[in-house]
Amino acid sequence: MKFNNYLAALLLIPALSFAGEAEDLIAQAEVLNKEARAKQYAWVATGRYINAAVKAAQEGRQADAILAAGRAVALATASLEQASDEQRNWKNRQLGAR
Amino acid sequence: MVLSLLFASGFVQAGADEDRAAFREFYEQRFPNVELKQHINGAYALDAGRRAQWIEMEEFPPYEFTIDDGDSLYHEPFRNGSDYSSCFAGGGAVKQWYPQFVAGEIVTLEVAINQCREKNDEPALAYDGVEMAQLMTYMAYVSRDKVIDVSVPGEAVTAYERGKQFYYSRRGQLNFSCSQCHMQIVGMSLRSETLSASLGHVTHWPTYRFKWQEVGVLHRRFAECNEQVGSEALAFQHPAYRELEYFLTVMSNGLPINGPASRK
Repeated sequence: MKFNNYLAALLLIPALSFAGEAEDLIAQAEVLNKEARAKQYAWVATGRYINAAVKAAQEGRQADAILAAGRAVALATASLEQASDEQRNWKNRQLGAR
Repeated sequence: MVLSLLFASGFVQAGADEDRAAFREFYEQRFPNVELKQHINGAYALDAGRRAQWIEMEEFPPYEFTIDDGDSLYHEPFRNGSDYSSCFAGGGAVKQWYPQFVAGEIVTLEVAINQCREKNDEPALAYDGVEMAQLMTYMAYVSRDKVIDVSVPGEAVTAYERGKQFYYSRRGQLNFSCSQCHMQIVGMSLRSETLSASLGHVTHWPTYRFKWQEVGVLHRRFAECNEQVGSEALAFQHPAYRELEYFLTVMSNGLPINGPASRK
């Protein structure tokens, strides 16, 4: 009985670790996306991946949650880079700039 | 030396008049056979076949009932007995003077309508609602052929420049700016649609779009454009959209109002 409890606990460790990783990634993506939204540079796909990650995590599909949240983090990071780049680059695009 | 340094660092920003002159020159050179004024008809100025179809569609304009609805709303007295004529001269034929820069912010005609309502103790209309679109349609109709005359006073330059920045900035996952579609590849096709010139972009709103199956306001199109390039849309009448409208309207100064219109 005791052995079974240990075994169960051992089996739970990767799952709990997965769950923590997904939660961290979702939280990270949400923070980055909020920052992008404040700059008017949020992307539609970021929100969709965050929603997909949250749904997967709620349904216990941790690997799917991590995958979607990781994509959301990547997209949110890219949207913030775009916001930063465009602070300078738009000027080169205006008529008479060249 | 100093000037070249300034140019190199991008600190020199052309004024609104220079911007407008450059805008007009760009489209004149890009479409030497299209009279500038024709750009108020959007893509139909660039494609004879589509123009012919559109002119036929306009024989029974799909926005006609919306004008009537807006007419009724415009003349319906407020609860205090006043009406919109207490705020807008000329029976509402004022679209050519909006947006304006008032008390530190861009006031579009939609905002002015709500300011009028609030002044008369009426609740504000939703900017994305049917009634606002109806009122705007009526006011555009009575403003037809009036020439756009929107100025950029000194205190409005910052807002104007932000509108210009929005226009030229890439957005969304597809990394597109307004200027890329409507300047860089203007006249070409995206799927089955011909890309129209930005000159005259603001003259024909509200517009009945067959895709929408109803009349919609300009900021609905802004939001749709943003979403099409994968960017989250802003709320209608968000300050950034108002500033974009301001910039585009200044670029269209001198062109006549021809709204409401129909578009594919």
